[in-house]
Amino acid sequence: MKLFRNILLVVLALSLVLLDVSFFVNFEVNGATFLSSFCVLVVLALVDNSKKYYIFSLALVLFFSLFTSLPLLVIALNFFLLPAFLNFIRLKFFPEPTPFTSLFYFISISVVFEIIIMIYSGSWNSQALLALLYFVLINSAAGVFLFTMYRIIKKRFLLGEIKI
Amino acid sequence: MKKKPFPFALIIIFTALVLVFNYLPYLKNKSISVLQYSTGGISGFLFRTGHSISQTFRFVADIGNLKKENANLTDRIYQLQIDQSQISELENENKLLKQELGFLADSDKGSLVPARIIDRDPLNYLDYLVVDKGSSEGILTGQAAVFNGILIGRVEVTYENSSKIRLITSKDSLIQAMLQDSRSKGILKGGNSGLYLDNIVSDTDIKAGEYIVTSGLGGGLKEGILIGRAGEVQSFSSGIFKSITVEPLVDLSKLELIFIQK
Repeated sequence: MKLFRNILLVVLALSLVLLDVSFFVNFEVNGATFLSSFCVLVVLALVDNSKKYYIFSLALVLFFSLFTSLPLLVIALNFFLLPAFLNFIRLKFFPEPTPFTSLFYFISISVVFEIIIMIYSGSWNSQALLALLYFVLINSAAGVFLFTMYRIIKKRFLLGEIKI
Repeated sequence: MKKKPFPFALIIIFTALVLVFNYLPYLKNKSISVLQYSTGGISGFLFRTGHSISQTFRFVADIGNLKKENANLTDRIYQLQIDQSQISELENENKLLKQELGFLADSDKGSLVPARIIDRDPLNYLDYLVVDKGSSEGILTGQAAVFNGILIGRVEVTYENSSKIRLITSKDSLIQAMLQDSRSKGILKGGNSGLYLDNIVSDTDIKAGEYIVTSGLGGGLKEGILIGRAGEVQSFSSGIFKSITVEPLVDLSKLELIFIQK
């Protein structure tokens, strides 16, 4: 069961990375796209209390290191350390996030995510700031939507805590 | 409540895999090749589907501009027809002059291999793309990637069945280029702020809208591949050189099929 769950998380990571690099990349708005893998990762970091999402997080680091041109450090920072930090803050201060607090989390993590990429690419111009703004808008909205969907499903099916 | 064990073993395996892939280029390229081969069909399908949907949305959003664009294009067609007739005249004259001077036939312009885009980098948009043709089709590193004869990038890495194209808009892209009329040479650079041609000798007289083509210097790309149009003078990086913005002739975000120049 444990092995099956881990395989499922790795397959989910690969599917979402493929969706990001092949499908959602077509819907670019001012240099920003919807990163489904990132949004799902943040949702998992917001709902998981037992650190099982680490497998998903590491699988994303692995697949993004193969599929993108960004250096490993940037990928590891954005897809491993950042969500881990978010998970730590959440467990420490707001153990039960609401859609409103999740919006706060999504906005802050998206801003940091994009700033890390801006630092790496060394571009601090109006175009890059516009890309940051759109990235935060798109991914925060989508992330909060995913988080709300998770809560609705959890309530409706009375699963208590979804085992990931 | 029994505390669940932390998945240390899996985390160590994954971290080791990530590090091995990143510090052993051969292994990394081999894994990318295998991964892209096994997921190429799905990626291609997803890319085509996403592209069609996004183009439909763009079409609906652009309807208001169509009339204006149509008028501009009609004007441009007239201008191009005039240019075409002048080019034909020059071509004939050139042919005659070459014959008189005893030049050989035109140099080999190479063949074009059509390639479909299967992936793009969502984190570093307009940095690179992946196409479905690789070393098994004779694609080599450094070859030019073109669309309608216009340079869009060059092959950076080739795998067996796919290749990675570094786009001219990438911040890491450096292309030896020149102004077509003044023949002044420079280096074409990309980045978030757009394309620009750097290191042009400062006394160069640049015409507005002058075409920029590859200079063929440094090997790799052939001379004369169209890149874009000259924009405004951006800065004087020193007393000797200046740089100009370059208006690209292709919208790189709309591409679906490109050609590799062999």
